[in-house]
Amino acid sequence: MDLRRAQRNLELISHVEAKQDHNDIDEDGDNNETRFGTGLPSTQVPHDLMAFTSSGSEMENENENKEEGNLPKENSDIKSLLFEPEQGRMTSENHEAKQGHFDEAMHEEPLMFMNTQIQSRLDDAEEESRLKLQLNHFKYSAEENEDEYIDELSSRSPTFLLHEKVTNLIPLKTSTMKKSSVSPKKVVKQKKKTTTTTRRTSKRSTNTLKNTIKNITQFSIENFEKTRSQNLLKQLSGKHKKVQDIIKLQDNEDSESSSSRPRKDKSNKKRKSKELEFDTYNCKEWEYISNSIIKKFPHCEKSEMKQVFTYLYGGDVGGTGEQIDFHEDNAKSYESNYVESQGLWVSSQLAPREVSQPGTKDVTGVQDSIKPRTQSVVNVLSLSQVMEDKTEASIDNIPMDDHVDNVPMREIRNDRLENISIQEVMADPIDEIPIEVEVSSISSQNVAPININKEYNGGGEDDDISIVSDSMEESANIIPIRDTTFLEEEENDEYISNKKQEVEGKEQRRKRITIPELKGPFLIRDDEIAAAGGEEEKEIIDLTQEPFKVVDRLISPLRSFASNNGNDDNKENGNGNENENENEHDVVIGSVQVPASRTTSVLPATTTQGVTSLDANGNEYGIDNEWENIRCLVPLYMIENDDLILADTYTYSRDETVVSCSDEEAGANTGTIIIRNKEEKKPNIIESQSVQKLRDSIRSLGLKPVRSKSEMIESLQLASSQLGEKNSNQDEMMVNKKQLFEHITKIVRDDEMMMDKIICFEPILIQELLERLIKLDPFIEIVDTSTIREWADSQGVCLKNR
Amino acid sequence: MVAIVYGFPNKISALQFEHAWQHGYQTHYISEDERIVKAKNGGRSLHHKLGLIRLLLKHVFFQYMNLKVHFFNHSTKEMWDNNKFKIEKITNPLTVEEAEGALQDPKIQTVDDMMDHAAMNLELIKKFYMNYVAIDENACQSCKNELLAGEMPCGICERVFDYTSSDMDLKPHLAFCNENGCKFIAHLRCLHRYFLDDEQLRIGKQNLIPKDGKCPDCAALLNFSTVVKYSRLVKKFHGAN
Repeated sequence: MDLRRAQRNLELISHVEAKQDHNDIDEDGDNNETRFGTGLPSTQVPHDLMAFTSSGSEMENENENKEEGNLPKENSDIKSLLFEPEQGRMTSENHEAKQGHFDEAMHEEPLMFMNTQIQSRLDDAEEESRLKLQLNHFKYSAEENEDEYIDELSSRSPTFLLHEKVTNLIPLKTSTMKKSSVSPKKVVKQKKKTTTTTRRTSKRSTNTLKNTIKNITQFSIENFEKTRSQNLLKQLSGKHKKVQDIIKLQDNEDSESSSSRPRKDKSNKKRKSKELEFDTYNCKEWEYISNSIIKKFPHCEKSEMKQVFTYLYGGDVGGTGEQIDFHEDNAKSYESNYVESQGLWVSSQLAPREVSQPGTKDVTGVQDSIKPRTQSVVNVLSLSQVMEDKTEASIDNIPMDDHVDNVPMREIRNDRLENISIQEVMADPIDEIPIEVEVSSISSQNVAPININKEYNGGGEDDDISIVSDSMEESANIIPIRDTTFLEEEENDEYISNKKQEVEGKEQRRKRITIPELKGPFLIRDDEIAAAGGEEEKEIIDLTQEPFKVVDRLISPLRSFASNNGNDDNKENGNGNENENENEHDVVIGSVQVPASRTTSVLPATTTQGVTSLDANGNEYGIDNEWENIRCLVPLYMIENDDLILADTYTYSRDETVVSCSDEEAGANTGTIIIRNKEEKKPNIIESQSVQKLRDSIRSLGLKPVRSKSEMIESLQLASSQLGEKNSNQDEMMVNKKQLFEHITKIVRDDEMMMDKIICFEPILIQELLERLIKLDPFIEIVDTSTIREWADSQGVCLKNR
Repeated sequence: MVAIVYGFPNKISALQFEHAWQHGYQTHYISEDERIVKAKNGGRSLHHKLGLIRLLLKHVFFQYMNLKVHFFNHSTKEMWDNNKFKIEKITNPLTVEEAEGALQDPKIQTVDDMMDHAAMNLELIKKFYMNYVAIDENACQSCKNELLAGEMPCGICERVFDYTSSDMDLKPHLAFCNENGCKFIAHLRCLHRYFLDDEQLRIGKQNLIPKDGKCPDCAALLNFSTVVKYSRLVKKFHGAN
């Protein structure tokens, strides 16, 4: 290999030298050396050149020549500048110089990448323009320019704006890169160190991103608009089926318009004639929707309202120049037309062409605030609103006009609650419940309420026109919407009749109330019903709505006593039925009962029963178990025979005092007894004490000390028996020394001989004294001598030992 | 001798008092909370001795005896009045006397001076004793003179007693009122019962021995122990066999 390569190099050298001699004869020897020196490495030139002139660069140059006219020339110049010294160096450098050549080539690579970057920017710009063209087909951007679209975006929710920013992030960046591509040198400086591999991958990634950007943006916008429109209509109307129909219609319309625009008119007509048969909104629904739209979008344009209307009622219905003007300036004219025609709801149910006919102008966009106050408004509450969308259709979301704002909210709610009722709810099998809304005017004019008694028809074109009731009597048959419980009891006629009776009672109060105008459907809350209903309903505890506690014992413990006591007649007849025993002559104490309510209620106390405040446990109502005396009536035979069951637990005594004024209670066969707690025999305190305590007691009393406990107890019991005569409190067994001294004094006082000595202050032998005392009272035997001395000292008796 | 406690109805009580005074650290006549001498060798100062006298005279047993304290030394009397241990006053009126010519603290320089001071002290004691005996003799003589009249009714029970007779049943213990020339004579038991009833009305409690009482005739306050003393003397000297 080396020999062949060397020969080939020599041939090349000779060929080059010949060529150089032919072209550059005037050059000096130095240049020749350099050329020769640089020509040596050129043995690798064909491979390198082939490597550098790879397909990418060549193809890119061709593409660039197509789009940018001056660039190919520059690139050719640059290439000539690059390759000319490189060839010279290749001929003169060795193998080591080959590696430096690669480095230099790598250094010069970004110059080739610059063209691809520019191409990528151009691709991005093209994709962006194409995306904009696709976006132009979008509904809202058809009539609006880009600025309006941005304004609309700014008015949307922040989440949506964030989503839009994310989706538009890369296209906006490409546009900035496009501007920077005007100066390609900067791009070259920035991307100088990128490799060919990264360039390729970046190019691929940009291509894929373009596709994803396009898809994501379009997908998100479309989805957002769909969901937005769906949510909006759902929120406004609450009818899912209708919303789905409308969205489906719009999707079909968009698809057809994008596919075949020339045939738009014909296909639209056919499609409208077919697809507009879906269940559109009735008059009141549409009115509520329009109010909600106006409330939510107070700055909405006329065209937007028109577009919404065309969504629902046929699109280009106003193409004849008689379009409905939703602007506020023209609202009054529509309002007057509405009053005159009275075909609002019917017109909304008609075909789009009929709706757009002159003389039947719709008032869908007319605000309620500019309607006359005396106008009666028909409110329809749908079943879906009742069952599902409670929160959305709640009273808080009802649009209020200016007049109502001046009225207190509580009053308004009450008024609304008073005026909503349902007629023939149970007879209507359809999910939409027609209701009658009675609206009394706040002005002096008493406009009769409008009673819509409609059988719902799916076609909607042959519907009956609203029937206006002339009198208030018809409203008496109205069942107010209180809660959803009536839906569960649809077939219960009694329930309906009861509701009607309640309404009749309330109608009398309602007539005296001046009620402002109502707008929009709403639900009635139970608490508001209660507030409007007055105190009658407050007192009723609905066990289905509130928790309650079951009382396990309804009868007091004294009940058994009462139930076992029959009167004399029953006993004579042998009738032991307890029910019969509970007549008026029975024991009154047995009538004590515990109320079965959640809250404690105290029965009214009577003069004859002191136990009326006792409960089942016997300790409630502030009375302890240690109740004192209870006065009650019992049959006389039980008193005479001592047959009272309570005798085991309580002591009773006959009371002749007549307190009761009732002849029935104070019968001839009854007697009054007073029941009290039986005095229990308390255990002996002396026996229950410990030895230590007994010893202390003996010591404190001054008795002779003994060892055994029994002797202690015996001494103490003897002392208590002797000294306790004067002690009124029998429970206090522990007599003190003072009592003992008094006892001894009493004994000595009775002894004349002893008293003579004592009076004369003669010393007395202690033994003599003890003998005398023991002789008089043997109890003194257990008394300690020190106690006798102490006694003598206390009494001035002089003692001597011997 | 600087002081003397007298008026004991018998020598037993006097000895009890003396024993208690000498054993002030353990006597039962002094309660533990009031004890001023708590050790056997303690309490040898004059203040302690005077304090123990106060404590013993405070006891109920000695209060029946109407004891009196007589001082033969003036400085000791001052120390008594000083009441170093702040012992409460005795409920019964305690008679504290100071002998006339009570001595001062002796200024002993020689043995002769000491002998002279002791002689003077003894003279004071003799004088006190002779005076005391003279009072009792006079009282007994006055009573004897009254009893010489023969039968006399009791001033309370009206029963007759006669100390001139040989019947011992007519010679009971009699009570005399010698205050201000009062000639009240009654049975001692009758006057005892009379005083007890009177005392019971005052204190609500009936004891065995009254402390004092008023004479039923002259309403003079009579100490029962004194009445008993004279009754016993009369009985001893004039009523005995």
